This record gives sequence, C-alpha cells and structure tokens, in this order.
Amino acid sequence: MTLTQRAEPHDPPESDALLSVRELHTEFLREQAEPLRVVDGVSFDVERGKALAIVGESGSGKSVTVRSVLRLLPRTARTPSGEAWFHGRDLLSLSQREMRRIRGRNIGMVFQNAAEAMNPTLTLERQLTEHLLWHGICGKSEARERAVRALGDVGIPEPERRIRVYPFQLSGGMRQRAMIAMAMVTEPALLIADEPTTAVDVTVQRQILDLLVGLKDRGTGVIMITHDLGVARYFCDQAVVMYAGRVVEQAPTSELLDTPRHPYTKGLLGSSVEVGGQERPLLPIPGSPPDLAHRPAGCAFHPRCAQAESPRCQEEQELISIGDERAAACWKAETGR
Amino acid sequence: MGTIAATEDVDTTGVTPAERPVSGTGQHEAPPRARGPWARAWDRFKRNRLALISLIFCALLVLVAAAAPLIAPYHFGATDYANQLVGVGSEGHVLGTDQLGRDILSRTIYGLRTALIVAFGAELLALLAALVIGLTAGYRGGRVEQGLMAFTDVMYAFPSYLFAIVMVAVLGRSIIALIIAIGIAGWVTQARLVRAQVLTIKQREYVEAGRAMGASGPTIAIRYILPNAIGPLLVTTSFAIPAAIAAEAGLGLLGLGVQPPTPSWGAMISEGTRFLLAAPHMLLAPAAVFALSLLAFTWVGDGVRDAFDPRGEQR
Amino acid sequence: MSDSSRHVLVHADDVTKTFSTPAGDVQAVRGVTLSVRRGETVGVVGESGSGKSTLARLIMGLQPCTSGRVLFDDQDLSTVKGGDLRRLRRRMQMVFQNPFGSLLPHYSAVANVIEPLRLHGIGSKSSRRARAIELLDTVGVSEHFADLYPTQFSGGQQQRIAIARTLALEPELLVCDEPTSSLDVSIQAQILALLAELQQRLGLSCVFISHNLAVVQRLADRVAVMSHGKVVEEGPTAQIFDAPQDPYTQQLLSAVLPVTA
Repeated sequence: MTLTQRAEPHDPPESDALLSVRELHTEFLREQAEPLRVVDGVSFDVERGKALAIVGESGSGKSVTVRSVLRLLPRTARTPSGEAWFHGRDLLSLSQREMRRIRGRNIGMVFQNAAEAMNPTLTLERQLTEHLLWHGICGKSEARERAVRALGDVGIPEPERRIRVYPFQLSGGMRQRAMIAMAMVTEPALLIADEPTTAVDVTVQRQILDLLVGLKDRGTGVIMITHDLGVARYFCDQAVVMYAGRVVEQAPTSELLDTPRHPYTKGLLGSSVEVGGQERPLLPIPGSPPDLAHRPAGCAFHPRCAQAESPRCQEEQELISIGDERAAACWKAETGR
Repeated sequence: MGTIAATEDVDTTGVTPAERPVSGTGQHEAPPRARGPWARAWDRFKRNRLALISLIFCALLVLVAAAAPLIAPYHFGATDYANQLVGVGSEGHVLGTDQLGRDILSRTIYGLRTALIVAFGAELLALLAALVIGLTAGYRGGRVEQGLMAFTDVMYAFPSYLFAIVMVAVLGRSIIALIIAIGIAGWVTQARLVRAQVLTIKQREYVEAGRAMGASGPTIAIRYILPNAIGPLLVTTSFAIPAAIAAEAGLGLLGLGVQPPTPSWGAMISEGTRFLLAAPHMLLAPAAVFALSLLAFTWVGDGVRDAFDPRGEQR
Repeated sequence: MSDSSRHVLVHADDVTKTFSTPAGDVQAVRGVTLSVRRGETVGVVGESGSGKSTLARLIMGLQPCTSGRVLFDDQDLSTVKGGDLRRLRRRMQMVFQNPFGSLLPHYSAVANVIEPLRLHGIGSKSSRRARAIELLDTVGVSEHFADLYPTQFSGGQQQRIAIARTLALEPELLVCDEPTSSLDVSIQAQILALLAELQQRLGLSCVFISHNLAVVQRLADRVAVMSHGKVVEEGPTAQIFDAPQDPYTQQLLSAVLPVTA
C-alpha cells in the first residue's frame, strides 16, 4: 500500500476515544481510468467498552473502511488521506512493521467466514498461540494456558482437548467461536468484527453476540460491520450508516432505529422484515445501490429517494449535526421530516 | 489469521463500464451493449496488445501456409543444380538454397504448411476426442466414467514419443500418421480437463435449474455445460498448438517426420546442422521462422488465458 | 386457511433422504410428511443442515427419495420417468438461492426466460420472445435490458430474471429455496414484495424455504419448522409464531433480534 501526500506533522484529536477515524479516503486504482473512490471522507469514533455498528449494503464501503484502518487493503488500493488515531498514534502513518505489531496484538479481527480466515493446516493451538509468541507477550507454556482459557471463554466445551484439532474438524458455529478466541487471546483493546454472524444460524448468532457483550463489558471497544439492523440494535451502542462510500447518518443505535433522519436509513428500516412485523407494509427502496464509477451527482441517494423533489437534493450533502450526538447528510434532516 | 480474503465490498478487477451491472432505476437510459461471456473474453483479449499482434501474425502464417503454392517461388522439391548451397540474397533464391539446390524460402513456406496442418489437425483430433470422452465421463458418471477415465489413465502413462514411433512404423511417414501420433498424445490431458470442468459445472445451480425446467440429459450436457466448459479448454488448446508445432519439428529432427522431400522444419534444421559451417543460412531461415511462430502462438495462448481468466466473472 | 376440502396439490408422504458420504450415511431428511394445498403458501424454516433444501429438491423430484413418496396432483413422482417427468416439471418450478448461479451465463436475460418455453416447444420463436419480454416486464426488468447477459445485472435484477423464467411455464407450484438470502436488505424487500404480489395475482401454490423467520411469517399461510431432518412443528403461521409448542421453535423465536423497539 502506498501512502502519499500525508500532511506532517499532525496531532491526535482531543477526544478520549479508543479509535478516532478522521476524513478517511480510500480509492482503488483502475486500468485506463481515474481511481475509484470507495471510501469518501469517513469519520467516526469508537469508545472503550462500547460497540460501533457500521451499517450498509454491499458496495457501501463498510468493509473497505475498516480494512483501510487496519492497512489490510489489496495492492490496487491506496489511502491518499485520512487519519486513524489509536493509542495516540496515527495508524495510517505507521510503518508496515509497526502496524504488524499492532494488528493481532492490540487490534483483533473476526471475519464473516472462519473457514476462510483460519489456516486449515494448523491446529487451533498453533493459531491461538501464534500471536502471543510472535509478539513476545509470553512464553510457550503460558501461551498454551491462555489459549485454552480463551477457547473456554468463548464457550467451546473441553478446550483442553479441542485445542489440538484442526479448524475443519469443528462445526461452523464452533469455528466462528474459535476465531473469536483467536482474536481475543492477546486481549486487544479493539476488536473489529466484519459480519461475524452472517454465516451462522440465529441461535448461534445470539450466543456469539452474548459472548461479544462480555468482552465489551471488560472494556474492549468493538467495531461491528453488519447489514442486520437487529444485530446493530442488540449489540451496538453507536451506529454509522454508510451509502456509496460516505457516512449518511450517525447516531446512538436506538435513536437511529427509532427516529431515523436520513431517507436511506428510513428506507433500510422500511425494507427490513422482522418477526411480529408482518402487518406493517414492506416499503422497499426502489432501484439498486449506485455503481461507484457512475456515482450520481450531489446526494448519491437522490435517484432512489422518495423525498427528493427539491433541486437541493442534487447538491452535495454535508453531515448536519442534529443535537449533540446525531448527524445526517440530508438537508431535510434538520427539520426532522 | 495471516491471510485476509479479498474485500467483498468492491470490484477491483478493472471492469469497463459496459460490464457493470445495470441499476434498475433508470428505465429510459440507453441500454448498455449486451456482452456475453464470449464477447467479454474477446474484449479482454483485445486489450492485450502483444496477444493481438501475435494473433494477426498467426493469421498471416495461416494465410501463407494456405497459399503456399501461390507464394512460394519454387516447388519444394525443385532442384537447381547450378545453384547448390548458395547464400542469402543470391539471384533467384532470396534465402539461398540447400545442398541439392532447393530454394530455402520455398521449403520454409512449405514447412510452415506441414507444421500448421499437423498442429491444427492434431489439436482438432485431440479436442474432439477430449470433448466426447470428457463430457461423457463427467456428465454420466458412475461406471461409464470409471471405464473412460481408466482408459485415459492408461493412455496417459504411455510415453508419447514411443507412441509416435509406433504410429509412424504402422502408418508410414505421412501427415496423417503425425496428426494421429501428436493428437493422441494431446487428448489425454484435455479429456481430463474437460471432465474436471464438467464435474465443477455440474454442481452449478443453473444445471439443476435446467433439470427443474424439464431439460433432458443431452440438452444439459451440450447446451448448458459444454459452452461453459470450453473456455479453459480453449486456453489449453491454444498452448497445445505451439507444442504440436514443436512436436512436429521434433519428430522431423528424429527422422520420424513427413516423408522427404515434403519439407518439415525439423528435417530442415537437422540437415542444416550438417552444413552449419559451410551454409549457416540453411539452418537459420527455418529455425527463425520456427521460433517466431512458436512465440506468436504462445503469446496468443497467453492472451486467450487472460481473456478467460475467471476473475471478474463471478457476480 | 385450514379449509380441508381444498385440493392438495403436492403431498410428501413420510419421505426420507440419505446421502452416502465417505464418512458414512447422512440422513438429511427423516420421515417428513407435508402437504401443500392449491393456492397455499407453506413456509419451511430451519437452520443450516436441517434438511430444508433437500426437502425442496425431493418435492421438485430433482432427487429421488430414499423412502416414502412425493405425490404431485396424485401422481407418484418416482413412478414418472423420462419425458413424462420432464413434462410434469412444467407444472412445478423452482427459484434458487443464488440468482447468478441459476441463470445460464451464456444466455441473455431474455434467452434465459425463453429457454423453458423452447424446451417444452411452446409457441413460435417470435411469440416466445414476445412472451419472455412480457414476463420480464412483469417482474420489473425493462425491455431495454432484455438482451444483456446475467453478469451485466445486479443480484436483485438477476433474481427477478430467474423469477420471470419460472413463471414462463405458468406453473401451479413454485418452490422458493432461500430466494432472498444472498441479496441486500433493500433488494430483499423488493423481491419479497414481488413474490407476494405474484402469489396473489396468479394464485400460485408455494413452498417457501428460508432460515429467516420474519420472511416466512410474512409470506406463508402455514409453517413447518425443521430440525435435524425432521419437522418438529407444523401449523398455521399465526399459531407457530404466537404460541409455539415445540421447544426448538421456541428457542428459534427467542433468538430473534428485533429491529424496532
């Protein structure tokens, strides 16, 4: 990854947040075309012991956002500007070597599909103790002890025995738990979970979320990428809604879902089906998310927006603060319509 | 935790606007151009300059081979005893003559004809055999598959040069013998590939959807599976053609090629080495054209491979 | 909706399906009895590996039952062979989970919709095309885009094309296997609205398979809950959701995370 034109020096923002992302921009290089702007000026904070939901549909840039922060982008991507403050350091200006020390040690990661994220040729023991040993956190016997404890903590029965198995010998739900154990074994301050429950059944989803609640209670900050508003409401304190690479609304999760201000958030709620809500008419958002190479001018949502009758909707929409904790990128949001 | 799957969020494969999915909103916008799998493969092939130039060069080679009697100044067997072993640039013989006074240019052109007939013939044969056997084995499964694949494995284990020697011994030194010898050496890997492709494609939902619509077995195999299996097959075939050209030359070099005086590049190179010091041009012309055509066909193969690269095909 | 005099269109009678794997036999479906009356939508919910997708394929006759039988309009599917079975398939169609995977990649959108008509020799070449365009219009795909290929459409549009294709043969039974689970929330809502509208307008009988309880509650008249290859509970939708009897159903419902307060 290349980092270009980074303004130096810079100071950490004056918030006491665990992670502060400021004006993050990420683009993908293309053959014979302008770079494709995939993340466009995204800012958010993650507090200690709190969870932030990043909500959005596929192509909204939510995964690329966290991968930019983690510096885990493919070679064709770059982050021309933005900051990501973590423990007083800007992750985006660290060397790859320093970044490797932070990943896995201070920041844990959980992905949607454990089967793909775990190394199929290594036992759980090897994979769980790898970070502890590699970062020199502890010695071999203590690493093993901590790994067993981590497996027990995530609710894997008989951790002493299970630690010797390979990932494929576990069921999907167990594998997902093992991956969480792997992310947690170094006791990172921040956990990034990218759709961690999308591939598992509802009953397992509930168990995994309850497990993550326990971590949060112990002070871990969590970023949870999800398209499931129920998961966001259940687990996350704060939420940002992304559309076409930008944050369109941010608010405490319950407020966001109870009184959505941005038409897209309203549309997501109108589109979601939930048990007991069968009498409520489905109100799908027409059309599909925009192709980023042909982003609509102005507000990217206006071609699908039921309320876009004013010419102002075809202008760029800045995030407008609504009260202390909320903001929405729609000029109508202020009036609460 | 070392490996990170590519981000699912964004498509970075450099797709052109025409390939982007259409959104459902604009009902009145002009529709993008319809691009099926073949059209998209051609689009991608065209973007590779080297492959495109190589393809044009190969097409030229085919034309020259087809029109050899019109283009070649002399018949390949015509001897000019007054001008034996004359060098490049001699009057009447641009590329010189060999020890019998035969025109090198004409013989190289006819050698091209031999090489291409053998290579394309052999690959066509290999392709047909591979398709029939691989498709049948892959689609039918069970005993039929076991039997066919056992046969294929036996053929695979058989040394191909040995087989070629046997073929030539049985059928004599003819173009047909060479086509069969090289073709049979080639179909085995192709058949395995077809079978593997068919087995993969059989798992796709569209095959099941086809059955659910009421399509019969042959319809599914030929109309649904085959067209989607053919891309990778085309890739191996385009690499097999230069290999077959080389094999033809190799057999010629070993004296197993076509019956003289019909020219073969292998035989010409072999003769040329005998007069290497006295008449280096005898070796140079056929060797240069041989090398160039191998390179061009291989570059076309590269282009075909990139064109059928499954990246960006899955949506 | 428990009008017992209504004619049963498809009836699975104590069906089981056992797959042989290198690790031993796996019983995907164990003794399931289920019927779908005309004009009715039966939802099948269950978690992954509960056998619900296998049940869908048994009902469609795409896989033979290990034991038991499936009666479609009183004909035992296992006794119908070859051409007769293919003709019977006209009357039952299936929507798959992965729309891109279920469309022929080398056929244009309209050619995909024409294909079932062609297979069954319905209409002339031009009337087939006209009908296919009409069907695409029904599901909300503009004629402008009819000649594009599946990769040129978004996932939601692909699923619309797949639905248009299933409607081409005017089936009596539509089996939907997780038709929206690979789609985004906003697109899922579009497809659900479309399916609900088609059901009503065409009077389709439907088997709707999903792991998503909310989706099933919205579309189904009756629900069967599957776990480990068995139907653990079956009944009218309201009854299953409001007063679940089986502990497993209760567990499933209690794990649901509400979106609205």
